[in-house]
Amino acid sequence: MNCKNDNITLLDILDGVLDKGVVITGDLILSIADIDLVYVNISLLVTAVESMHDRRINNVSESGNSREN
Amino acid sequence: MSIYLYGLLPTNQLEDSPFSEVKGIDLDKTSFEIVEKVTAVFCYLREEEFGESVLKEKMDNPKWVHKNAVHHHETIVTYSKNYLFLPTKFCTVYSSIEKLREDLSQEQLNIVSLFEQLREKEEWNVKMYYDRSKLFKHMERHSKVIQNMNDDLKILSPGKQFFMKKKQTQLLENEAQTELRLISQSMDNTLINLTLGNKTRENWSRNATGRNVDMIYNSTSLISKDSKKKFELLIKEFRQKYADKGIIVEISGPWPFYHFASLDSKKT
Repeated sequence: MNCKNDNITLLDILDGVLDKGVVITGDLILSIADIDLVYVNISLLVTAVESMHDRRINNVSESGNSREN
Repeated sequence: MSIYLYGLLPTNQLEDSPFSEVKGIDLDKTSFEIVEKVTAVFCYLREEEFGESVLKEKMDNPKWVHKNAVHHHETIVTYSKNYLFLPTKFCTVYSSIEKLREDLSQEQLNIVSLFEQLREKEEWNVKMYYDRSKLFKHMERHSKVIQNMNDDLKILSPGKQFFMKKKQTQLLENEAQTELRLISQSMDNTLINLTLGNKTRENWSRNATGRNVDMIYNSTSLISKDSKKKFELLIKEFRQKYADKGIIVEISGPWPFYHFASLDSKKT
């Protein structure tokens, strides 16, 4: 897939999979249909991703494996 | 035993590309279930981890949603490489494989028709942003009304200049908004004429995108594989035409058919 911006790609993934896609029937025991969920939580999700990313960088630095560009 | 459904593919495509299992969302790997012309890709779930009430709690945890939504997407991308794959919505869980079989039998014709509609097609995202300072500088240089006001300003008293400048700022803002509407409309018309389907979506805020430019257009297009080069060329031309005005156009794809794999008869 041709994607330039990681943040936008993540938002597109979440926007795509959280509300779109085939829904076959009402027999599903759970289906997340509320689009508001995406927009309410989307910044929370991005924040969660960023903190995970920051933690990973910190862990790498602390273990002495960091590399300067 | 409940199952997690990733998506559907045409059964006849298994002849050319035999099914490969990958890691599932729970402990089990993915499997497939053939119901006539439709094959479902799924994995089995443990009730204690994916029961309805447990799942609802997990959906409130952004880290869990992020991790598993990305897993859902990556699994779909894996299968989309080999098959015409209809992705399901995140967390599509069936109480049993029998329930899924019943549904696939009932919806067989609609699903096969969707396979036909999406054959040799691709889904692409188009986003447009604008750089405010670049657009305003461009408009100040090129707007005749603003230039006339600048000429008038020179002969006015300081007090009148103050009010005139305020009026000029408001005018510039209005002109910029009109220009942005026209550019967005022009992009929309271009895509409507060029593609097989175009769905506009909400623009995302700077908070969501983390960028210092504002999104003014966000859409998903369905294009035929044959017209991909033409699509890329027209986007390139559009980009060049409006670059001086601070307009940024970005495309990404091909994406799984998140926006175009919808069954008309769907019940929620």
